[in-house]
Amino acid sequence: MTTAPCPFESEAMRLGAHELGPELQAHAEACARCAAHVEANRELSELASRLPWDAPAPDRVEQLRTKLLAEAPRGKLQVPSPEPSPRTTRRRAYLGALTAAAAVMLLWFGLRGRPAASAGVPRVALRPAAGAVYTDLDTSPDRIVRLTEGSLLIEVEKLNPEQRVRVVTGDAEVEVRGTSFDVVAAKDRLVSVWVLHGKVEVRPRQAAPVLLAQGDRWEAVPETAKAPATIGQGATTQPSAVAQPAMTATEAAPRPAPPHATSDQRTAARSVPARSTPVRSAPPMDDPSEAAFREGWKALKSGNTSAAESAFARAEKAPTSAVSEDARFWRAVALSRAGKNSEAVAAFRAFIAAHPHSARRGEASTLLGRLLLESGQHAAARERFLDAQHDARPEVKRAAESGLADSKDSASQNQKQK
Amino acid sequence: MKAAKVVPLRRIQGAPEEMADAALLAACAVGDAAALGALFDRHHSAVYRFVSRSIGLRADELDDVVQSTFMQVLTSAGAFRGDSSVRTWLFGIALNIGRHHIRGEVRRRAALASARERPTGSARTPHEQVAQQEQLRILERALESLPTEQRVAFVMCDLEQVRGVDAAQTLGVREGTLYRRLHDARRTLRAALQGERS
Repeated sequence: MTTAPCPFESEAMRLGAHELGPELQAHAEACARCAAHVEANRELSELASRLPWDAPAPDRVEQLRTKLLAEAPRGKLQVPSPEPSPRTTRRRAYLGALTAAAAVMLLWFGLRGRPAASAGVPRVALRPAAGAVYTDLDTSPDRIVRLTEGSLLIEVEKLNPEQRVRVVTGDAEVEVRGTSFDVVAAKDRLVSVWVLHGKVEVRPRQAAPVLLAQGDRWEAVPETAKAPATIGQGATTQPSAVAQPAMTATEAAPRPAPPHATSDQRTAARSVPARSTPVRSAPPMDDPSEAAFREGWKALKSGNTSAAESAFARAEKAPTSAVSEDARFWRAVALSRAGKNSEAVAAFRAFIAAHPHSARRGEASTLLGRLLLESGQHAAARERFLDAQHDARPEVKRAAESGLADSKDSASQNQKQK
Repeated sequence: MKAAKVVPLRRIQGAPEEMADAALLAACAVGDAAALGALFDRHHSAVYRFVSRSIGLRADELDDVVQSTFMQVLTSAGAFRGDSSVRTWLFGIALNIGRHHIRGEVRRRAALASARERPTGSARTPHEQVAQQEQLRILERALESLPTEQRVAFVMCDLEQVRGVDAAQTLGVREGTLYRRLHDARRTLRAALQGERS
């Protein structure tokens, strides 16, 4: 080692540790002066890399990605702009009336003869009302309809797990689950969504997502209104399966709401800017799978987990059923409540595999994590809790964090015992 | 209005994910939104981090800058010459866009200061934790007080590990200028840390 002036010193002082070539690195090992500079740069860089920064939440990133891709064609591909021409200006003068009329119209036509299933591309039928301004980004397996103005009736066949269909406005997105629904926007703002069949998830940018079932209606509050948030006829609450983070999977299993709950069950505790609107009732359901789902829920509520599991199994077997996703989830819950942990683990895994984009994925991951933790599978449990951390709902995130802490404690206890 | 042109928007998976950044950028240049999605998935985190540390913006402004950055990829992809990495090129775009969001030094400092209360560091013992928190607090303030050009050089080179030659090109300055800014930034930051230690 030498402390004499070194010809490489200015280089060692200038370059960051990541820029040092093998020659300079070898030199620094033998030269004290250069080694000191390299070490000083590395130390400062390492310390600075721990400085906080505004890491975006996964749901914010997803929203941004969707917005980016929905907006991208305008910038690049000269998609016709919704900027008002003289004609559209006249047309927009009537938009208020048009929107209201579109919202009142129940567009039941086209519900028969839904398009046949295909392997890769989600089949979507768009029926725009007069004056609707939209851009249809027809893709595989992700399809985005960018709605700026007016009303669209949308019919979507049952989707495969990897397929997604979304309607995006400037302030929200509506994720389709295999359904027919009417969606209205005005001035790039989501005005209303009315589900005619199946399920739809509405995700306002500034509020929690809302899952709508058949007959449900979501309406945005006018900017001047300050009405409390409620949802229209038929909306389903999404009971959190992880309301108590520290609970075990069996304890944490929630009391499920029926797929078509009464309005007083639905209106509470929503921060969604929506309001009640008198709407026509949906036709009575005679789908055997939905009847089985109701039977399963009733049984689960009464504590008869065996009957519940059996009924949910029947409900999930109908591949075209709108409730098969929920049935699959609740069957797993029923199994965990019954103490059939290994079967519950398999059922939760099957649910996550079949419905990777489900709104219940976070809950399922957390419950699965708890079951895995109970059986001593710390690594697998941790993986599920990490997955659940991406859930948009705070209670699910908290439960996931609690699970992570518990899995760490259990793992360290095990090591000590060894 | 009739439905507009059909554009692929699928989230690229499998083999296309292994495409090099430059290949994805070439696809963006011909309007392939799927490639844009893949680039976003790959680099949005780095762009967020770079803008957050070098400029300092509110969360909603950060979103706007990141979105505008990737939007500009579609129109500017054809101009990418491959002189630097795509990530460094994205930093350059983000920096130009981000600067327009900052209207004054006071606002910039306020935005940078908003990060102070967030948890930082990964020290093991409570004593180490307190010491590290203090160091980070000092470092953050010192970084915040740097002239913008020095801070950008430090964040780009020492935090984002961009090579000096690439950083100089992205920032449109000579390499010597870049290293002088970097040297000045390091000296100021070290002085702040050493001042506290003594």
